[in-house]
Amino acid sequence: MGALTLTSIEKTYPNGHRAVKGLSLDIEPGEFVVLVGPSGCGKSTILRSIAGLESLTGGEIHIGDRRVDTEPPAKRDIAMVFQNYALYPHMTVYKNLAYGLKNRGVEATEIDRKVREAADLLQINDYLDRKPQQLSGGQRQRVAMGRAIVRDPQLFLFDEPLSNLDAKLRAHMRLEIKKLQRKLSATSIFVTHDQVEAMTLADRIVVLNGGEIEQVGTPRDVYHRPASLFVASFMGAPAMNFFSTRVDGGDLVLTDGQRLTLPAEQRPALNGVTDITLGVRPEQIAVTETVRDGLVTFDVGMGEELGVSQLLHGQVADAEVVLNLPKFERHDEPQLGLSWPEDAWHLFDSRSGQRL
Amino acid sequence: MTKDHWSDHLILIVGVLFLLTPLWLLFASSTHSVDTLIREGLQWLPGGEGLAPYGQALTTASGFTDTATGLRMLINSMIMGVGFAVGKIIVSMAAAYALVYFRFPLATFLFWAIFCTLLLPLEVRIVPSYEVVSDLNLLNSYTGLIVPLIASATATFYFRQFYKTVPNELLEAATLDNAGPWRFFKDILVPLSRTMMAAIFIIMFVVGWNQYLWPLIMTTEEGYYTIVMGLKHILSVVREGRVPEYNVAFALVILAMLPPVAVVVLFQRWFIQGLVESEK
Amino acid sequence: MSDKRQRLPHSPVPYLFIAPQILIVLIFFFWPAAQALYLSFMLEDPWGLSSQFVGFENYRILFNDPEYLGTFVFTMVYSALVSFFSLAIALLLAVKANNIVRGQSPYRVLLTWVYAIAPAVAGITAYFIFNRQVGVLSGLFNDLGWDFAPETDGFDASVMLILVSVWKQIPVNFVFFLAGLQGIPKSIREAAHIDCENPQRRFWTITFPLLAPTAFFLLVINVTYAFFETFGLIDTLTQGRPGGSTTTLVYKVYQDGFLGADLGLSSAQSVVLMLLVLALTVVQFRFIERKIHY
Repeated sequence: MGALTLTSIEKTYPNGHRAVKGLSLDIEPGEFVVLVGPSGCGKSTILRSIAGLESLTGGEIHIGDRRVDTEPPAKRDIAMVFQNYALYPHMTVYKNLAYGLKNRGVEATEIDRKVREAADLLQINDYLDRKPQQLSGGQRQRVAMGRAIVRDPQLFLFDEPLSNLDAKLRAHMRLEIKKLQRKLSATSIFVTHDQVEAMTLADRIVVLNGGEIEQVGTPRDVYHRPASLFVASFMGAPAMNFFSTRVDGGDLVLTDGQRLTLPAEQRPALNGVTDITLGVRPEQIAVTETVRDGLVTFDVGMGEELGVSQLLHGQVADAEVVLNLPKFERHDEPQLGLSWPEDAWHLFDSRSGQRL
Repeated sequence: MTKDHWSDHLILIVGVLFLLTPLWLLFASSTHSVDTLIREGLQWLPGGEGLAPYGQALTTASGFTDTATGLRMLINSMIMGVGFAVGKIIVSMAAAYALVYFRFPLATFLFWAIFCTLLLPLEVRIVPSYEVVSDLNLLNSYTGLIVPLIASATATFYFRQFYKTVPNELLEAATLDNAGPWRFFKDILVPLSRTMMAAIFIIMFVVGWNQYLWPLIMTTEEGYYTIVMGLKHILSVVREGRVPEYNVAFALVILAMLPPVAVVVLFQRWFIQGLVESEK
Repeated sequence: MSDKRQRLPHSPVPYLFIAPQILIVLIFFFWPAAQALYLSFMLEDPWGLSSQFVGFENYRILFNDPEYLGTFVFTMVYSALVSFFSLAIALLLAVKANNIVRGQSPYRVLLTWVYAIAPAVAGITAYFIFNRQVGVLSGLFNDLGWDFAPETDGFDASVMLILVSVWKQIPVNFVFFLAGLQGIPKSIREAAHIDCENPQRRFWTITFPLLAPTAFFLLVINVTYAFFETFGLIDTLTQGRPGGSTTTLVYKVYQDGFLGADLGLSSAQSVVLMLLVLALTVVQFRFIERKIHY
């Protein structure tokens, strides 16, 4: 029995918008699952439905072996960390943490013990008497997590909790959340639109698009074996380069007639499909200063210096292409030759968008 | 940009003088003897009587009315101002909570029913309102003085606007924290509304204190006279041609404006906020 | 109302919370309002013993009564003048108060606290200031060669009433204009300084248009004030005298209903006023709707 089971859950809003379209998912105890996708993909709706803040129009939700989708939010034994923290502004940190316990009739001494325990864990002991306005963004973030932790729930829900922090703090808190989650072995679901957060935090990533699952897998899986064009373009920055090609024998023909020889081991995968979208990640492409046979011709455009590497924009057969080059001295070549290793080829059926 | 222009100050000072001179004149004159006032008219500088006319205004029935002393009328006005403000805040906070945080079948209908009260000020429906209060046996009572005035919906809309600015996540967090509708109202919403309540209290206190027409028609027993309406009797004495104690009359006028003015000056920031927000 | 707002579950709770307000509104608003409407179609004998349905008779009498029409015209002119002068003076003061750096808050307190004075108290203050026996202003006007006699001259009485009404209303307008001026972003003011050197021109081309919403909203407030809230002022200062020349519509409702005890006629006047307020509200709503597009 999983820690959380979603069975064909559906959410259709009164205005007819289908936010979640029959989605099923199993989450193991102690697992950290990240729901990622563009805005409007249904990730927040799923999270809020698990919390009970929105009602489903179909399907079931089980936590352990309890069916909870018919229960009120407070009875589901979950805790949630909100995007804007939703701390009660007129209560001290201590009272913010204690409020949920108090409302559940927990004894004062027990509340005190739990609040101090959580405060220790999160290192917010010094601020217990302060009001939220007197705290920095990172401290508020910790209090919001503390409010979840004191309840010792079966499931933690995170609704884009890092999006209000500046970049540096976000990276720091990301690590903290991960450490904390490991320490408590808390089953957690984390919603974000930021693919870096998803990659770094997750045991498993669930990529969502239009209310449906595109792919479920480990960060490595999702990055190295994207199941569809959508996943391939969503995960990774800068995004994967795509080329429209036609199969001709063992070759892929670009729109301007350049021919690429498909590695032998990729050929069986084609399976008779003739219109192929070829994907290659920017960091896997190597450049050669001379353009010669067997290399793809690249029309050089603008460069962007990142310090650690350089992004080089340009075109291949009318398609926009980005290269991420760690060591590259730019001269004034109008064209460069491109190549990439055999494991860098990602082949997708242009019609269905599915990986081949 | 950083240096003030003298003409700006001049215009402002003229404005201040225009607003304040009449009041100063009345105050200065209230400290003179009746004889001086009748002989020489209103006085520009304080006189020899000092605050004695105020003592007289507070303690004696002043000859204007038989039983209503200045103090009695001030107390009645205080009850009216505070009662009106508190009653209005409680009633409108509760109603606004129902309208903003619940979806119920009659919500839209009730919203418009409450909205309608903005269309017809008490002054317009004064005669039938009097009849209703009289039918309910509420003439000459504090309830009759205060409750009918609460019918207008201004404060309800004010709190409704405010609740709508409260982040929705607070309700969600409270729901997860096992707070029901009553707990959310008591533990979260009311404490969050404190400054709003203070601001609306000040406006409503002033409005309640300053009521004139309603107490005028509502009260026939002098024990229920408020000070603002009580002033009318000063006028009737003057108009009947008896020799009035002008200094005491002026003192009563000053006393009638003192509490609301004090509240507005002392709580200037809340007052401005309340005024600007409640009229929206 | 936004539909995204999370609502609490369906329960009897909202009815309990809204009940006090609804009860008060029903008893002290709808009941009297319905009575006014009902009575406006009835004719009551002078002793209040019997009444009969007369249809629109009361309205017909009303609109054929030259005195009522005179009151109607006076109310309109009075409202227009009071609104114009109190808005203009308050705008001038607010702009000046916003310009200066030193002494802003004392000016603000001094210019606003008259708000707290009841119209009736303002009226009685004015009564003494203009009083022939002890007052200063009537004598001053006479000395200046103006044969000022508000007791007998309708024009003089109107001037006096308007002056006092404007005096009382300046603080409210001042507060809103100042808030409006301070609500104009600093960056816009700085941009205006760079683009336009002439302060007068800058005011009329930048500041004033940005204040227009405030001004329009205040216009509604001021008309409402002149219609209704000036009751206490009139009752203490002129009581509609001389000869009804300073009687407003609201004051006449009171006079006919309470002093004259003609309930039917007074109720018909209430209904007419209700329609006027309705019109005012519609105008206000149209304006608010338009404001959303900004």
